[in-house]
Amino acid sequence: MSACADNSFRIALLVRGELDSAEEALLRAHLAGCATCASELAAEEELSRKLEKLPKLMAPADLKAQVQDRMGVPLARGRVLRMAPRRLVVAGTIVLALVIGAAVTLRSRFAADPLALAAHQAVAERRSLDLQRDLFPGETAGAPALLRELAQRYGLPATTAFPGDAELRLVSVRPGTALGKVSAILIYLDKEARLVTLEILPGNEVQIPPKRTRQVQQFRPVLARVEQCGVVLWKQGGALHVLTAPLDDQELARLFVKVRTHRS
Amino acid sequence: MLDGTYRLARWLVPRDSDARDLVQETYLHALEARKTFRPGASMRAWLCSILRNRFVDLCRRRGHEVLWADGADEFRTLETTGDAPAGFFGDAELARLTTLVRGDIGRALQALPENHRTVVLLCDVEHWRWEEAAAVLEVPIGTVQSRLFRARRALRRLLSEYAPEEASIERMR
Repeated sequence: MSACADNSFRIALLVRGELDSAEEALLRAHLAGCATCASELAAEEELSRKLEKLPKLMAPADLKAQVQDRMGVPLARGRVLRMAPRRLVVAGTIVLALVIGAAVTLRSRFAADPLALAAHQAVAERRSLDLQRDLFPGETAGAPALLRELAQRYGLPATTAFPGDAELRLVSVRPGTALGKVSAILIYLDKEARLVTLEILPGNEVQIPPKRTRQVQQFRPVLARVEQCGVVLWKQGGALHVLTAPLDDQELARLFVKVRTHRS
Repeated sequence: MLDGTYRLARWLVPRDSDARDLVQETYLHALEARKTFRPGASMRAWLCSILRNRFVDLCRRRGHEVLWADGADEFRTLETTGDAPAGFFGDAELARLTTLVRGDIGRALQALPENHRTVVLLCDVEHWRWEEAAAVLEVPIGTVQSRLFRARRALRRLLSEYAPEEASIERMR
């Protein structure tokens, strides 16, 4: 009986399919001659069948929408595009409200330095996006259309947005906020599945002092590093562009040139 | 992923409104605490771990209120009033499905202590990996396995206690 009692846990593993073949063969040989253990196996299998019959609840659609709105996450592919203009504005406002909490700290630190503020906000946003990778596949197909809509609605220059290539795949576009303005955040994955973001926001009033820039080929962007993450800021088409990527300075500069020189 | 989080919430608290609040709080907390997520770790385990901690907070906030009493109150109420178990799942189709399994397995699950209920849900209903369940329950994998073993034993005992009830219902048909 004690040997059978010892088998109880093995029987539970057998039902779960977690015994290796040698252990399973041994146990099955025992089961063939032991009514107690055979009965134990039958009871465990019956319990598993009953558990399998439990209904698999799905989260209600309105709950999903509420959560995703509050997280600042566009819904599944195409959903945002179907939003009424007012709803898009409301979603943008909620995103803004969510970001405000984190932004307050940053703003107090970088009140007098909008470039530093934009860089820190972009890196904070990138960190948040990194947690949402599993949502991107459902958003990829709708990304270009969402970018066009955001550009149209908020006056962003979509033509300067890098559409991605074989090395840097565009996986999603999200509305964001930076420097108190609604922005478009283009999200890419590189070949090593590293997250790269390009945030575009209205930036006519943002000044980039030449002394903070560096020569990168024919361009003079600001290159920075925030929490080990590379950041490049530049103005183009009246908009401020903030590129973030976990790359070293040389790779970052190469990436910047690629993004900056593409032709839509 | 939201479905799994919601399902766990629905098994932790009896009211759908509480489950919805738990899920929303979980995601907002996750946003705030995103720095604590380790890259490469299971996102769903991390979220459910947050949800479970929020559930514990909810119990504390409500002081003496015991959410599931002895774990069978809602079923007992349904039996007394003759309602379909729609109050439990809030959905007619799910109520029908629940009726099909006669509620016994659900009733038995609710009668388990929360940590045993959760381990059964994660490992045997959701079929999560041991390490994911361990992350949610914040115990070693060996503890998850032994806890699941004990929980299944308890479930079988409870189901055998309900069996005569079921037999009598069958005879009435």
